[in-house]
Amino acid sequence: MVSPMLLIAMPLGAAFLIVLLGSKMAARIVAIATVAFLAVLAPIWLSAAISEPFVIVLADVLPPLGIAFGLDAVSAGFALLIAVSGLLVLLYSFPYIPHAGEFKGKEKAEVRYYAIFLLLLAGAFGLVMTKDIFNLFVFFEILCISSYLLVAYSQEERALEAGFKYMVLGSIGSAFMLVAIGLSYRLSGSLAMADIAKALAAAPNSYATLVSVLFVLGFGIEAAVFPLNTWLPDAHSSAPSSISAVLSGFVIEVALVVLVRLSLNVFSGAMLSVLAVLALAGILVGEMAALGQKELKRALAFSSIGQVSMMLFAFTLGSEIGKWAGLGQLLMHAGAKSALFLVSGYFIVRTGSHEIEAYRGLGRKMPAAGAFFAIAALSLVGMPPLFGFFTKLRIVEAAAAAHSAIGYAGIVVILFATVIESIYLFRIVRTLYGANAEVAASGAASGDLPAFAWIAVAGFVLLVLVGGFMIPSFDRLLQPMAAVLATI
Amino acid sequence: MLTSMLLILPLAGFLTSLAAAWIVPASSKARASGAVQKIIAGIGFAALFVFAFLAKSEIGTGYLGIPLFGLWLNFGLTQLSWYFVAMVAGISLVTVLFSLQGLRDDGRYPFYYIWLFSKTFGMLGVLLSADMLTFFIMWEVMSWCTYFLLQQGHEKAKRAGAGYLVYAVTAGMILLAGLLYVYFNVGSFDFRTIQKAFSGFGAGRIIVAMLLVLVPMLIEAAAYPVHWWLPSAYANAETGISAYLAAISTRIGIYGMTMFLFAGFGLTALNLVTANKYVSANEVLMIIGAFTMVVPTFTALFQHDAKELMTWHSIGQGGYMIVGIASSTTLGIAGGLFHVFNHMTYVSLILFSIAAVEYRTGTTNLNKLGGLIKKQPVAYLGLLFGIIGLAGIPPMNGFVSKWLIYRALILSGHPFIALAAFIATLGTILSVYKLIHNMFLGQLPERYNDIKEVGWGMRLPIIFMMAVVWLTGAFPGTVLAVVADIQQSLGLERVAYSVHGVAAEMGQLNMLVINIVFIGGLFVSWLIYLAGGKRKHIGQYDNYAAGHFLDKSIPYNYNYNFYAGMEHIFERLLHKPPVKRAEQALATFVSGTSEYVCRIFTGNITTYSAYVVAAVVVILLVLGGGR
Amino acid sequence: MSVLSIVVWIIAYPLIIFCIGVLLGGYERKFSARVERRIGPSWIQPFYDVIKLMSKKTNVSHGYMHDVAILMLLGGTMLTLYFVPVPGFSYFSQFGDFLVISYLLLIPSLGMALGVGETANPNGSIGISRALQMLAGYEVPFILTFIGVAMKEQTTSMLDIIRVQQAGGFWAWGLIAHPLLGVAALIALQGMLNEKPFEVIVAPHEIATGPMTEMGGKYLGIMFIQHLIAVPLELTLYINLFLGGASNWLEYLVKLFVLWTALISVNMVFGRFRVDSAVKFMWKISLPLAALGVIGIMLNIA
Repeated sequence: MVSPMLLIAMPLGAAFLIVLLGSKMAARIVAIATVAFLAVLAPIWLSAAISEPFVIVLADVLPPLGIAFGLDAVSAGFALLIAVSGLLVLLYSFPYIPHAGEFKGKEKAEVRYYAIFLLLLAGAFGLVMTKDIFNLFVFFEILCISSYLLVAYSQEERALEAGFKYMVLGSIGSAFMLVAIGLSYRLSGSLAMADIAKALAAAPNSYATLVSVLFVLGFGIEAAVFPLNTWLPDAHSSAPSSISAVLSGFVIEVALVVLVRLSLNVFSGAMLSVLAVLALAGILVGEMAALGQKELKRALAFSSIGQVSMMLFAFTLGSEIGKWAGLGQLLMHAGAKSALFLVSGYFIVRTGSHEIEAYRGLGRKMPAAGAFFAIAALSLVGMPPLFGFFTKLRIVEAAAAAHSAIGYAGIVVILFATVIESIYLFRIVRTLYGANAEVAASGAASGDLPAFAWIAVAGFVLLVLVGGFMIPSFDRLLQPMAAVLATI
Repeated sequence: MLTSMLLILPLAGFLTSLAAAWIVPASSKARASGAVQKIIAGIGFAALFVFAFLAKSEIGTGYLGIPLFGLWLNFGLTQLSWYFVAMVAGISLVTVLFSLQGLRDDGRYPFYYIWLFSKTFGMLGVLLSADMLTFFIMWEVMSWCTYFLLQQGHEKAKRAGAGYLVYAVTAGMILLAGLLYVYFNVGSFDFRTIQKAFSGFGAGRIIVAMLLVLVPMLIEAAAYPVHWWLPSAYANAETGISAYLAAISTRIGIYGMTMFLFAGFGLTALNLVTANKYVSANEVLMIIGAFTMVVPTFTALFQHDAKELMTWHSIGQGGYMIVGIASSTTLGIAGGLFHVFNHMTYVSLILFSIAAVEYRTGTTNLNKLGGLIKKQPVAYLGLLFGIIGLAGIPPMNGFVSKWLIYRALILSGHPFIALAAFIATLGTILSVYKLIHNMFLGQLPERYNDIKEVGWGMRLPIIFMMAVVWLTGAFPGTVLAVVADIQQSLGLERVAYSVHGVAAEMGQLNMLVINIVFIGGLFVSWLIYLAGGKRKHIGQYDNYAAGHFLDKSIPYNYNYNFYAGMEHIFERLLHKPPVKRAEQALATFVSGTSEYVCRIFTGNITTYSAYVVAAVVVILLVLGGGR
Repeated sequence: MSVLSIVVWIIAYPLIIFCIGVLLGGYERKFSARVERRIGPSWIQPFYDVIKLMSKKTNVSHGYMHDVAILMLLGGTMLTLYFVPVPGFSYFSQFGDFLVISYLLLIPSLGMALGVGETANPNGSIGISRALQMLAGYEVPFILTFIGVAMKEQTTSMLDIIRVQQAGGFWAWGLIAHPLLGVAALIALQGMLNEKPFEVIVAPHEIATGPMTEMGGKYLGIMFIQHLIAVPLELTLYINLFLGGASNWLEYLVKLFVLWTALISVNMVFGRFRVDSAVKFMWKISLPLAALGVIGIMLNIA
């Protein structure tokens, strides 16, 4: 079997190749071929990793000194999610990216887009596979820096500003993380996570707490933990929609899962309760803020805050079913929110506006886009038999099973958030299907989604559409993942 | 298994008509597409009706378990659910038959039959659910299908539907909390296990469970004070749909309430929730029911739109059902359940008649219509039969169920609830007279001179429902037999019915005698009438006008502010309905909070950095201070 | 009761009540004339009126509902009548209790309302609007008094209520045993009979006799007949509920005339309320009285 290191090596290599080739066509072909190849291999690795985790040793140096990677059920599962999402978003990017922004040297920029996109994937793959904390930092930086660049891709003023804010906050996070890594290295003399976990457990409590807080909050910036997620609404709403989809679809989630895994296994246990409280606050803030938005993508971005906090809450419950529910919700959200962002990209292209009100009646002009949007929204709110219903059901079930005050509070918050979600999401859907003579008459909305975009969105929508029926098969994937999440 | 067909048929109808809408090109053959939909709907609902009645043989014969979503979904028929299933199937068929002609092919309702199928599926799913988890899942499906059904037609309808969604999702979420609460207390979703476990619980746990489970049912049943979503949502829907929704959709809440009260928690548990002999769970529900009867009925009195007026009545009639069932007496439960059927028949009859008028005149505004009795006599008779039923006046069926409820209330010592029921009936009489007067009586406006009666496609359903309303009034035993079976299956005493009324041991009511004496009285009056001179019919302008001369240029009519005196009495409450105010205050509060929360995201990078630093410091302090 | 006597009663009952109605009507006119120091018409003047109206040659109507309504008016009243027990005849009471009677009473009102509606005269419509509002006014306290009595005796049957009163003698009479209910019902009865101060429906000076505006000839004649039956009928309801019913016809007639005298005396000395004031009066005076009475009964039972 080919080494899973390909997951990191191939996108990195392909990114350099794209820059060397320098042509748009070549960039597209190389990018899609790379990701498609990985997407084909990922299931094979996954089934292997579930039965027996890979341990990868680079340059024959064993841990704790070497650069340690591993592919277990969690990382392999995420590799699959990242690869497939990446593939679909790349497909979408072909017709979409030429519309994203008007600036000088756009041709060249498009080549760079694909290169950076692959870097982002490499960063994400690396993040889930790494077993030592310094590599974690390196891939974190790769992921973040490529995100900053992609957010600012359109070079419009708001995009540049958003990218800048993202970068500033990301740097603060990096600084915290670096301090935490230094402190833990001083303590344990090793960068391997397992060693750090042992050392921290033995260390004085205040020392462990300091390390934990610095690391978790530093990393939490990328994982969109409230109140560190302030960059998110700007970044997700100003990025090209393909990038918003990626950022909301798996980038925050990857960071989140790594964070959760570290909190569960490496850092002091107190962090879990802190995260649980922050998660509940995040749900409320995200959903309430989304309710007040007038721009579609901003509303979706706030909704992502709420949704990610919901996953975080499920994870912090610590129980097996809680982890299952968090992972399920993550999967559902990757499908639904990506679809929503991708569709809204074309709403913006067709109308030239970010405002929801400008899309009045667009659903009739773009029937497929409208239908996809509605289905994804339905899943997000949780209409049976769509996927979202069952993941949300599991989350509240897990919260109830916890028999704790925070669990009960979580149920109330999540149920309330669902009501709010249904209000703003269906306000949008209603606007899409509202009566508007202007849109109906004007040629502004000239056509539905292009073929590639259609396929990409349909792929994501298919996940939420049949996800509910496939829960028994997902079980076989999610249960090992949930189990592995509790180990380093 | 026939029961499974009840779920498969509407689902198949939904999918085929959806596929048909996709396949048949909309632009060129819009009409053809309509025809295909109509054929599918006609066949589908007719088959559903047949299967609903065939399925009666399968009551209680076991469950139909379907492994789906990693869960077991259990479906089965009970006496109670069959009663509602039969009603759903029956009224769906009549609605579809009425809509075949009543729904104009103007393209405003391209998904009419599709959503009708889906909504029927949702309702049947709820009714057939044999455990609480399935119930909740189907409940959610049903709520969403109702929302889609309401998202048709003009903008106002969609906005109203949005209001429904908020209530429905809230109800669903509360029900979910209830589901979890019950599950973690009992360890099972099965109703029988739940009932067994609950009879051993303390009052506290029962109260919590009841609140969490019954509140969603009351929201769906549009009980006061959570009724405000209904009037605008139903009144702005297509009239056929309004009939369907008002007739049966809202009553699923009544089904749920009955089911949870008597099959879910059980009487033993119910009796535990009694503080003293004055205050018990029943009484609280009955008071809610009393408000539901009175307030919406008197709101109906002052409406200016026929459909809106009727939707308020539809809420008010729900109050009778709640009161009857909550009374937990043999007569009361029988009356409440029977009232569901009666209400379904006359309310759909009334709305069909209104639809017939709307079809010809294009309006349901009560201030613009009048005198249509000369032009649309069948619709008039339909409305007349319907309002006699609605007002609960003999000899129509509405009287029988109300009689049972009144008697139950009086004899069980609830004089003021009984009074509320009477007050609501009086309010009903007032407002339905306004309805029929402003539409059909008084002066015929000149612009409606060329109006014709609607076609037979709409006339026949009206005539059929008239027959149902009258015949089940004369022979209430036909329906009461089913109701008695339900009571027996729930472990309650059977109501003692006879074919034409209530048997002597439970009171005195013989509707057949009333019918015969009434006909005899009419006959004698007719003889007296014949004894007088020959009568001559004259036109509407040949009228007393204090010496003035009337012609078509003179509006000579009394319909605006029909009950000025009452309006004067209720002025304050009318202009500022407290429930509406509370609802608005809540909405303002939520949007205000949302605005406030938005301010967290200042867009200023300095603030954002400060948040991060502050978060680190605060959390360190909290964790450090914890020791 | 043999079949023959039932048949005889069925035929005779409305006729007897009609005759009593004629006498009561004549008595009212005589009474008011004497109060106003006039001689007044004959004791059976209402009968002459009916004959006159029925033999009119011109009988105009505005349509079929107008014709049918007049039949509903009289037919509904006769239907109600049969369910009200009087001494010697209570055959139909086994098929319907007081609840049935109170709802059957609405049929004539509804019939008249529909017919008047078709006459397309706003005066008529206003009259009906007022009639229905008054209905809501007086019916509420009246029904509550009945609820109180029925709850006390645990029956809704009129026969049972009469039986209880007769068994207990004078002190068991509704009016004596539950004075608050009795008074409340008496006020409501005044409204039910459309006597001043609640005479807002016909109001000749305001709305040209309201519902009767477009009624003439035999239509008005049948309305008169109905009225002559309805007055003793409604008085009988009160007698049965609160005055111990009657064991023989003499007692019955005495009670009728005493009650009637009381009501028309009030009628003589009052003016007319505006409709909302009339309704408010019922709800603010009569209803609380009845409510107090019912609360008393509840406490008694409990």
